[in-house]
Amino acid sequence: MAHRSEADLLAERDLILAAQRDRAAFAPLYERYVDQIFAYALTLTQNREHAEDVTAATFAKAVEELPRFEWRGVPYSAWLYRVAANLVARDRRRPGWIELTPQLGDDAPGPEEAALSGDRAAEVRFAVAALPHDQRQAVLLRFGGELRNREIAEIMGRSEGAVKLLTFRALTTLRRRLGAPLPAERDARREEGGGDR
Amino acid sequence: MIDDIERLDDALEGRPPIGGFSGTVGELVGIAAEVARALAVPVLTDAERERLHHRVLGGRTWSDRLLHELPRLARRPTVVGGVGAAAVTLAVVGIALLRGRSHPELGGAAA
Repeated sequence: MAHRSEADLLAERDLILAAQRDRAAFAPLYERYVDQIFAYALTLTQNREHAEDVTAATFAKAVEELPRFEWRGVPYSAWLYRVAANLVARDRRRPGWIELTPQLGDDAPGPEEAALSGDRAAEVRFAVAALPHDQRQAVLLRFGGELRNREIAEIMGRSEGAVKLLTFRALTTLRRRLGAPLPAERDARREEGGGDR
Repeated sequence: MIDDIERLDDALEGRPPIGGFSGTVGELVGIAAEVARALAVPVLTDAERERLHHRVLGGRTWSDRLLHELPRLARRPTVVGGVGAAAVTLAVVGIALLRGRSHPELGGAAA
């Protein structure tokens, strides 16, 4: 899976330095990560309104902490994910927290409808949302955030070995839930069958 | 299983494992690629994107922010009562101040 190149990281460091000199220059960092952080919060909380609040609070803290932020050669998103993870964890500890059934959008189809309509991306997102919390988090950070094991381990407060195990278990569960056909095989089947499912 | 965990990690990191992939690891790599593609699809609606942009980068005054947030808060009955009371109080104070500015003679008369 893709990770950031050294050149990408250095370019991002320049964006951070620019934002530290002038807060108006924070916008490119925000635009780069807002979708990722919202998707992460949404898949963890299963609630769009809550995910929006977590995303807003994460970036508000980012702006507030900007003058004190020290670049350490890892993607800025690692820091944002840690803030978002802490905000979600804080809410999960509150009395009355209920883990909702995966529902990724008010107008979004359910998992069966997504499967029937051929919206594979929605089907996959539902399957990820239904994973146990730690597995879900590992998958989101690795494949959604494109972070490395050591960065994920730090965010989750786990060892790198534990992150590898969580990833393995999560993908094993997803293979079972989503079915064995690999993308290439499915595409070939689609072509043979004229696109009907 | 430990071997498979390490082989999967090697494969995900782009390091070709010695002896190649097992069938299981190959399938898991395929699922991982599919998950990465699915998670790359943006899920923010236009309305959410706009609200977030205003909340984070809007740089508006507290009163602008309050007006923007009211429709959302209205969906939370426990919150809207308190905010409503505060808004009414602020509106009364604001009107009183404006009246004072618009009609200084009233202030003078009162004094």
